[in-house]
Amino acid sequence: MVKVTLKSAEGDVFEVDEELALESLMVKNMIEDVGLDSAISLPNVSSTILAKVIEYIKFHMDAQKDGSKKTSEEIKAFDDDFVNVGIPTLFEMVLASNYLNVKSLLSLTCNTVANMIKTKPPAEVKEMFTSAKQAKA
Amino acid sequence: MDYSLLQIIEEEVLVRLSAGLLHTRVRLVCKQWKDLIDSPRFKSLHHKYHSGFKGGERSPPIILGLECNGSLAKCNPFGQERDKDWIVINPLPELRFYLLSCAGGLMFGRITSNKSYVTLNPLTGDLKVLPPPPLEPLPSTAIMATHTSRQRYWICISYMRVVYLYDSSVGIWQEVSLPEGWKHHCYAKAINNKVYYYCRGLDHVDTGLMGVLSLDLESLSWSTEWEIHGYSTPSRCCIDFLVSPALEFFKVTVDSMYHLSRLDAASKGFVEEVGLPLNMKEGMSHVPSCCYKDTIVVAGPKQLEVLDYKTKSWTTHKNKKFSRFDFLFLFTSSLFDPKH
Repeated sequence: MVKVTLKSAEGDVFEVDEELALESLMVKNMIEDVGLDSAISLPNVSSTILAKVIEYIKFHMDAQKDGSKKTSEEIKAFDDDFVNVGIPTLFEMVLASNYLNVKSLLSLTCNTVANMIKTKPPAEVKEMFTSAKQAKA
Repeated sequence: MDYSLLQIIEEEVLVRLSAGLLHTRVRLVCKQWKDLIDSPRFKSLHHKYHSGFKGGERSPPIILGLECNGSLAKCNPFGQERDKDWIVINPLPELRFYLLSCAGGLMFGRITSNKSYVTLNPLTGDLKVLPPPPLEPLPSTAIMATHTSRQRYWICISYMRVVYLYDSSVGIWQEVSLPEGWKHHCYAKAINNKVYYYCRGLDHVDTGLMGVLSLDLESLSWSTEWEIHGYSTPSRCCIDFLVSPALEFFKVTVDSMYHLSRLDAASKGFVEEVGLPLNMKEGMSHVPSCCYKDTIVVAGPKQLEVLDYKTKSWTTHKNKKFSRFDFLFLFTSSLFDPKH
């Protein structure tokens, strides 16, 4: 199988199947433009987040394959667990899925934040976003 | 975190929330969010996100019921939440307002005291008084339509052979005549930028020319969707005309039953689809209905019936309160600002 090399912000190299890399429309466009010979540089995505994104895409690709025994409950459990992270990581994942253009992950992470806004009083929502702003100011 | 990056998160997330939640709660979070939500750019993004979902809206509309005295009630048969029963609402508490039509989160109606035509966004309270139309007859139909971009709306009021058309992008009334040979609009329904009129032909009172004409509001051109000559007067009179989003046409007739007939393309005539027995002890003059996706909603006195006309199955929502509505409207809240 053809491999694609992705390079994170820190310069760490991730070698993934082409099929998996194409799930990111941004990477897909890059491959169409520059080909597979050189590593694809992703200066906006840290190694930790890139590893998470790859983990997410891999799980869902396997789950969709014929012969997959994953039930919809298992998939939902994976998703719930996947976004059960601190606000800073969650925000990083929104940005990464926006930048990499992975629609399903963008929906998952944004809907998670949207649900928090729905259920929290305005003051707590403000606090959540203010601390995120200060975290990496 | 970088401010512009945070803005991406904010836009991506906030756009997913309903117009009602954004307006009532999320705008209060901070000044930046208030400015973001009030910006035309965000409103347009929000509209695009909520309307571009598998050809329909992400959040289903509510149903508004209008009584002949002008009082309004809402119910929510398609929503996940409770509130399935009718709740009386008053979009303009300080004025008497008679609702004529709604589209794109806006209501179009008349202020009873001074007869002026207005558009209102009941969510934001934005009210716009329209200039008076050139003539002041009692219109036979009055309908509002919005452009799919939600940047523009139209109002069509009709009287005999004339349609007075108000275009929000120019802010004036124009006069459009029916095509030759046609007179009298009985019913009008709008889908996107087209208004569909159920019409009678001129000089064909005896032979009975009937038809459905559509007016394209952007090009101001008419098309004949359907016409039939030699139409014999049916024993039951047509009391309503419905257009589905898939552009199917329905005619409603009533005796002791509610009868729904669909215009059949092959036979070029109305074919009776279903009948619904009505509990008509109270002698209702009108049984209002409206069309949402593949369903027809019918408001009986003590129940709301939702017909899935693809499977011909009825779902009943019992009302605790007795209701007697003249008209039903579909309504989805939006951030649309009638000033634009």
